[in-house]
Amino acid sequence: MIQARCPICSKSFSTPTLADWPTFPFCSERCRLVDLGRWIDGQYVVPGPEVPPSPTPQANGSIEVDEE
Amino acid sequence: MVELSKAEGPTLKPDETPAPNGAESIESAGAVRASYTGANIRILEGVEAVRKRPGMYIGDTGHRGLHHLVYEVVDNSIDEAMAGYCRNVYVTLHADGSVSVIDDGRGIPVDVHSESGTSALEVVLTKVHSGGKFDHDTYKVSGGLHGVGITVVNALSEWLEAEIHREGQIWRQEYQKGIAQGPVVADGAISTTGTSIRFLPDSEIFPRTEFDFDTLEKRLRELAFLNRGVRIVLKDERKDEPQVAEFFSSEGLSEFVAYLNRAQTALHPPTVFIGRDDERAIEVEVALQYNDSISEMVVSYCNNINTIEGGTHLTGFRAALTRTLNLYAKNAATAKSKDLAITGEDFKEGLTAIVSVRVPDPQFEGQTKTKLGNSEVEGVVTRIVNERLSEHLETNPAVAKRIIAKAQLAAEAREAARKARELVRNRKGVLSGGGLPGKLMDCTTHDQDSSELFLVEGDSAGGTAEGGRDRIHQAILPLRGKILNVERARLDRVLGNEEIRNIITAVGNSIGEEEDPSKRRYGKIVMMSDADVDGSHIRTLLMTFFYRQMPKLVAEGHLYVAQPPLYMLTSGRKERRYVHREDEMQAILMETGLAGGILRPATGDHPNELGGPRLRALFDLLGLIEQGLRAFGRRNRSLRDLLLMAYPETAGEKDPRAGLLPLFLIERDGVEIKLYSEKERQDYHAAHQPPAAEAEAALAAQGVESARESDRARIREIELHEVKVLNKHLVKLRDEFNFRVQDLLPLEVVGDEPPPRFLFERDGDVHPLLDLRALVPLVRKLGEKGIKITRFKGLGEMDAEQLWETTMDPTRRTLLQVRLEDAAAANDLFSTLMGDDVEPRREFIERHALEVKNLDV
Repeated sequence: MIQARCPICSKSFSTPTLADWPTFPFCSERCRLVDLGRWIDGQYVVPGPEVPPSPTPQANGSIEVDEE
Repeated sequence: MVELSKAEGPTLKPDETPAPNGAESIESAGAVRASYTGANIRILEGVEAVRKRPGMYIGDTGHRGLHHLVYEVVDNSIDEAMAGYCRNVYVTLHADGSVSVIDDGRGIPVDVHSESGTSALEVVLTKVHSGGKFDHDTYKVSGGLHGVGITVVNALSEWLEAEIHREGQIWRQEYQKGIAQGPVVADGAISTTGTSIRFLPDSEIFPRTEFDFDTLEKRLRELAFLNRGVRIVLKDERKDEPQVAEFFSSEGLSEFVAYLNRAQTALHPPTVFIGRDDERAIEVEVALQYNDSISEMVVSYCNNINTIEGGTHLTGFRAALTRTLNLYAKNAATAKSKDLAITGEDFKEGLTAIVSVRVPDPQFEGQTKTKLGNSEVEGVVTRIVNERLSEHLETNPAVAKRIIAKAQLAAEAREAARKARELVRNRKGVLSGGGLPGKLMDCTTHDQDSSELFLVEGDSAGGTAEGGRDRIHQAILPLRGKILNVERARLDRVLGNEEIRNIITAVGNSIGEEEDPSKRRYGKIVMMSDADVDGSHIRTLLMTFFYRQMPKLVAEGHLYVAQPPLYMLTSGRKERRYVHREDEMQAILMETGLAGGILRPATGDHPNELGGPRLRALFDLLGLIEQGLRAFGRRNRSLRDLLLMAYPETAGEKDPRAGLLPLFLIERDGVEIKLYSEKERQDYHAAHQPPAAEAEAALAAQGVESARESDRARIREIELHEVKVLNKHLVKLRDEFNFRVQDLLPLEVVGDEPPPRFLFERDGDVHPLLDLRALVPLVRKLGEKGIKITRFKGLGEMDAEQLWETTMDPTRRTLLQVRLEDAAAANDLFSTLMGDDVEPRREFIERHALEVKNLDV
């Protein structure tokens, strides 16, 4: 049993298999379309640069880090 | 005296006292019979007409027509209830196949018309279209659905018995196939009033004469909702175990609409509008309630008749609903929603409504005569709904907001469907390369299983991948994550319209309900982005897209994540090694640094000498202790002070607390007390209980200041949460390695530099260590010796060859398969990142940033 919550309207539902719920992970075709429309419109964003750079071993500053 | 009540059973029972003189109020039986002969022919004509063409009067002689007989009789009782004279209606299905309808109204008049010589009751039961008001009495008998009245019921029944309680008497009359078997006769005295009609449908007319409980139940329930305050009891006595259903509604339509929505999640409490047009004597009652589904259910009634085909009342309601909600939506529109045009259709989604009107002279049209035709009704309904609805929206902004938001979603879906169609059209329009995106660098093979599509973040990395790929089997689609500045301090990334279209067309899988992973153009779809936080955000975005729009592709295991390396290690001459994970890198440095090393005390009196796996285990433990100690950074104490709080070691019997740190610190009168467990803390507080209340009162009486007050002021308790975990490591250090807390600190020597506590020997070199903690940085430093470490900050920092050998070459790379759960997790994460709430989003980013910092060991 797959438990899911519609990403658009937050309605919860469950389905025994993916194939039994053609609009998975949405509750309905309508919500799937709303989602697709938002992708097409470029409404979905994630935080871009400015997030701190990824981990750099800095113990004693002795690791050579190739900055380029 | 027997009352008409449920307890007594739904039959009109004669008063036990015999009538003083049954014939007193009526003409002699003989006279009545004589007057019958003349009228008989006329009645026979009417009855014959009905029996000849029953369909004309009751629609058909099937299921619907049969049950219509009951409704006709019930309608009379309801009318009496609406006039304010009747409270209970009993419908009983008897074992002999007949049905009785009993009410406690005034009773149909039984007195004789001077002109016709027959009783009002007989007129009602025998004259077609006799419905209407009896002038002398204003007893109204409605026309029922087809305006035919109970005459038709009588005509189509094998037999019918009428029993009237009125004017203190019981009156009876019997019929067969619509023909009176005698005049109305008085049959005893009774104080109650009411009408009982019991009949058996004629099997010559109806192929099936069996009534269906469920059908009657549905209609009677509906009637109870439509006519609040009337109690309707349906009883089925045909089975051994009688089945009873009772319907009563004090709230009417608002309960009805809630009943219709019983299986749905309602967005707001039912809303009811009641209004009246005095001039035309039209009454309007509307109830509506939105639910979170997308289907619509609107039912309409005129004079209790379900107008299945709608009509003017429904048209009026719809016009007013759309107009009022639209007006409100326009005024309340936000910047984002302004360009969305909401139409009347959008307000239908999730709407459950009941429109009920009462019209003095209803005109029914349409195929089944269930469409209201009175044109004057439309305007009245529109006006009332317009007024009441806008008033309601103004006073209930929260409800209004929910309804508008729902319609906006509907409008958005409509708009999205259009855009999706356009996207497909565009795809077919761009014919170069069979409609494939221009940016796609396709592979030469058309073999699905062996081919791969790399979705590469950034045009330049796309170029590198193009140079390094296996052209036969690997296709490259560069994705440019557009960078937006969305009025926040942060730059945000988005996949544009073109990117989305390119992905959909390149994958070839199609989307939505038509999604068919077998149609995909490649065996594997591989996401390749930088191995940093930014790259992981892009992956989250892509995974969310695949999870939502191509879930089958993900579920079948066709989506992968490429693993580009984080580091390149070069040692000696051009010997390259790639490291893909941070912890792997740390492990390499440690292994190299520890290899062949031996740790021993600087002075001979310490029994410990460690090497090999034991040293490795110690090293890991020290890493954990280091982490635990870092947590203390926030406390305003030096590490030495902290570690010196450890429970003293005793030479003799070992205390389990030895060398462990306190969990609680209690400051009392400037003295610090260390407590090593929760139990010690409880014991402490028990021992230092302020005096009991009585004792205190006694003290107070003697003029002694409350000790409790002063105690509370002097005690300060600190709980050292971090210690719990740290103590676990310290126990290990003590019991497995026989080291003391002091070994973590340099020796204290006055003046001079402290001498080393330990020595670390490796490759013939001896490195002095002031304390155990110094081992970690030393080992790492030794590990770095002789290796050149190159850190890749992004895909773009590798050349084509490096990208091939580390990330793309099927024989050397690692691909992570994305399972549906992984994609679902990405979707959840994305929802957090995307949420309208700025707060959880900011929190997430900060937490994420913190985790990254924690890795900087």
